[in-house]
Amino acid sequence: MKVSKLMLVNHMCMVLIAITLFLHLATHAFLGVSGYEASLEPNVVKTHYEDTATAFMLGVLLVVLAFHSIFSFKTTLLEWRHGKTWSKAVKWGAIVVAVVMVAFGMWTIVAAYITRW
Amino acid sequence: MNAEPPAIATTSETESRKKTRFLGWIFDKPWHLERIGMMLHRATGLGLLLYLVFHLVVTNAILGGRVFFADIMGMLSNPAAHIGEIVVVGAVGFHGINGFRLALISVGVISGRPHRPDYPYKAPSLNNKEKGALWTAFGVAVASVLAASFYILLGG
Repeated sequence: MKVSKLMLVNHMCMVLIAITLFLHLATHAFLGVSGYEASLEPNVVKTHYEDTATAFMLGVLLVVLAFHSIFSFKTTLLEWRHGKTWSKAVKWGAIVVAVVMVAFGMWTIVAAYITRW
Repeated sequence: MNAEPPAIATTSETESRKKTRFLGWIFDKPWHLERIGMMLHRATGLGLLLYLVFHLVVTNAILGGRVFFADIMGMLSNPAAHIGEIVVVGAVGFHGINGFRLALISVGVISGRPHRPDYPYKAPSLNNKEKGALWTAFGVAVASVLAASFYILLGG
């Protein structure tokens, strides 16, 4: 079955989410930490953000999660109601929400990466 | 012979249909296995989207300094929040595997070959491969909950 380009991007996002989300959860369970509670200590969290590879991984996870979640939510909203105005509103609303989510998350990642305690 | 006039939906019927359509993905029947999978996929997706927004706001607290972040983490370190985190991990496990099942169906890998619809009208897309993938999603959700419980409640 032929799928749209956006859906193909969505499928690629799903693969990237599986990899980066596993790594993200691992850094709170067993990867470089002694346990879950210890992984939430302020110094440990800050060290994660200051590590370039981890910060990059979090950035990728943020972008692909924002795309996948908002694209899927847009699909649900278009399934619920139809019409030209509704479609246009949902499309632009989804773009704005996704951009805001990525911008807010990136602000956290970049600022935590740059600033030193 | 007088013919019956065509049935016209009354306002209350129309309103009722609109309401059904709004939450039709939950309340419309039949509730077979794939339908339950679809309901859970959508419910976990919406829940995870809300959690993502919450998570982005909470993690932003790291910019407020060591003490502020520790305070926020202290507020979230209670049994209810821990159970919520375990539910989130379970939802991620189910949504992830079921999402791959849906992707494999949409590209035609496990959807079966189309054939003439003969009685008892079994859809070729609802085959054992597809059902196995759905049961795998349920199994991974349970395994995710157990793993999360191990790390979050028992400290790994």
